[in-house]
Amino acid sequence: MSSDPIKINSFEELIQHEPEILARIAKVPNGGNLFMAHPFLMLMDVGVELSAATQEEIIQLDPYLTGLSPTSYRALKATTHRQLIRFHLRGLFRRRET
Amino acid sequence: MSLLAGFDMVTEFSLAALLRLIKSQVTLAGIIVNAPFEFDLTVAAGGLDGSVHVIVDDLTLNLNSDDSATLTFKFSNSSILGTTPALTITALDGSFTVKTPLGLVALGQNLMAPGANLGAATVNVAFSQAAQSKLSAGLGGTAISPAQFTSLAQSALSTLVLQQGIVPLGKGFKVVTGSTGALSPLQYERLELHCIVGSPTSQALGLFGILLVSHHSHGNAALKTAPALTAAHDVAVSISPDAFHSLVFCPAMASSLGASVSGLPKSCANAGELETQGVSLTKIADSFTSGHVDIDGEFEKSGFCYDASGTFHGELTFTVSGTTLTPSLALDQPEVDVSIPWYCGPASGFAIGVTALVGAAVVNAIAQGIADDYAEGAVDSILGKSVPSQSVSGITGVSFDQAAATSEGLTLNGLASIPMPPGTAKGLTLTGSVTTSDQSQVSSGNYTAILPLCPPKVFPYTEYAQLQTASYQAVPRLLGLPITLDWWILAGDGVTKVSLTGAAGTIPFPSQTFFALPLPAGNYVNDAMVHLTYAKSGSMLSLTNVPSEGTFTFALYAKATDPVGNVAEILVPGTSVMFEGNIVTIGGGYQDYAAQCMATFGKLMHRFRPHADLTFTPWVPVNYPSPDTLISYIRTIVASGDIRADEALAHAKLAHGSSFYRALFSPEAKDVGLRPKGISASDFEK
Repeated sequence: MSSDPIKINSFEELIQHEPEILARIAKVPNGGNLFMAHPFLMLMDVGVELSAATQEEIIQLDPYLTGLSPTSYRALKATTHRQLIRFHLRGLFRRRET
Repeated sequence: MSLLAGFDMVTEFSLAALLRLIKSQVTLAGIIVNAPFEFDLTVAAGGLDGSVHVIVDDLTLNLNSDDSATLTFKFSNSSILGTTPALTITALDGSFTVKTPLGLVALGQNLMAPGANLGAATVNVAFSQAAQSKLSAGLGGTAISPAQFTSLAQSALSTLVLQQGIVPLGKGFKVVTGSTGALSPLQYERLELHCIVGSPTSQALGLFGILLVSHHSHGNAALKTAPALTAAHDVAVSISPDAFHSLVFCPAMASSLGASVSGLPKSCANAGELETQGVSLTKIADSFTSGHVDIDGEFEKSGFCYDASGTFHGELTFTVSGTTLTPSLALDQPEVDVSIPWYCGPASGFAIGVTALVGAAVVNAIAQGIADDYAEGAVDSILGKSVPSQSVSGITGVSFDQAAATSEGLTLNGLASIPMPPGTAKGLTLTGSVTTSDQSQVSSGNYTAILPLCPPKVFPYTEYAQLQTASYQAVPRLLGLPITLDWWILAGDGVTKVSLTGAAGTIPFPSQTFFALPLPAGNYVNDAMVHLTYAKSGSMLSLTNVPSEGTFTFALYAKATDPVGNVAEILVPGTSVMFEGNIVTIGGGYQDYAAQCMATFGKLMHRFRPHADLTFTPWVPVNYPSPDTLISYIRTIVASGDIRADEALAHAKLAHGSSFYRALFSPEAKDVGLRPKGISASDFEK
């Protein structure tokens, strides 16, 4: 699997690249948990470069994502222990209502 | 070494426990073999007619790999007492062994008990070198050689042993072939008994049981080459993982989860999954390992925005104390995999909620489902209200203090309570009684009785002189035969000791003597000289009184010395003997009249007793009361200080006759300070 950066300029592009991004997250130890803790840092760590507009678009769709803290993310990233609760992602973010 | 050798349950009894069981249940010549003990062996063959008195000092047990037991009886100070030819050989020592097959004995339908087939035992007698020399010397001049005598003794002993037949040890185990058994109450599907012989110092009797009908053909006892019993323990019970799984774990899980065993998922059944507390249990398993039992399971849970599946793991350990086995389950946090679809997104609050929801549900389900009820279930199944071995082999209770889990199973070690018969010590007992051989009338007349609180009334009386004989036998315990006996008496004054020397004779000694008349109290003479005629025959002594010398009492003593100098004697206060040479009988309904009057008097004295907490005996009915009862009554009268006390005592004596004297001269009376100078109230120490 390529580790090349993935540049994302819109939510649509993000959905197009969702399978590859999910695969990159699954390869990271505790990747699902890291994504649940701070999706934007996790995306950055797996080489996804989100444009500011795309990030704004995601937050508009899910306002809960404004209150994220990097602290728990870094703590989780620092450990190599397998977590008791392990999240497995089948999608990245909520879609627009059609 | 295999713990269970393929069986579901193995119960081991230590040599010490087995020996206690034998000592409490096996008899030889009608004597329980709780060494030390003694028995007589009749030998009437090969030109010898006589008996052998055997004193067994010690009994040891050895188990053999051919499923037999060897009992070794060590004897000493034993004697041959021959009548034909007349001979006495004493102080013989040696040992005899009884090798008996062990097996299961059918006690009834579906009931099997461990047993010793003494009917198929082999007996061997061996005299010590010193004893063989004594035999050579003692049998010299007869037609019997020491070897022949040994053979005769062995044959006689063998007959005695073989007569015992099959001796079951205990009440038995329930065994129902073709049906899965149970741990509580214990029921086997198949049962075998084998000796487990690891080494001369590591032996046990093992009950090898199959509990699961599917295991009917399992098990090879030969694979168990050493006991699981640990030091200083009597009983070890080992249960296989399979038996634990089927008879403890799965039923406990089913019970605690509100399901049937068949409704459980693998590994208990194949129901697929069991819904409990919002979680689908898909697997539950137990496996034995060193030190604990692993409990593992799998579950699934789905909800809005997530699908979760997880596993859990716990370790079950056991502590045991007395008859209480306490399982303790340490459950790890379950591991959960949560699958999140795209439409839920990664909102952190949601993630925490899912974690809490899944985690809490699983922990609750497992902890409540397994730990609490499982623990209780395990205790009930393994020990229940009764320890499995409780109803077996005379063991009334096992107190376990050690539990150990290994990959082969769970083993409990404990101590058994086996009620033992009282032991025997060297000693001497006098058995006998006084009988009246002749009675002659001395006088008769009418007596006007004036009883307390009753009008005077006339009653007929008759005075008798009685010739009496006291016959006593000295019975030694654990003394070699023949014994030499020394007899003596201690007069009623407690000071005058008179030896009974020679084979027969007459002895005079001073005594307080009592006469029935004048009524009601009679009369007494201090320091009167009385005479007893005695005759000895073997261990028997007979004593005869002179009727005209009245009623008196004394203590009889004896001392026995055996051939090796062991001594046993009758201890103080001796054996109390009373001769009643002079008595009176009173008719006309005096007994009923006296009882009625004295009871009324007693009630009055009780009402006005000097102290409210005084133990008060108002009256004792005339029906051979115990000395204690009469002594209590006499003390009541004396303590009352009532002016009618003498009168009351006199009538109590008249009404009770012999019983009154027996009470006065009993050891109990002496113990409480009642030793009358006469028979009026003032004669008693208060």
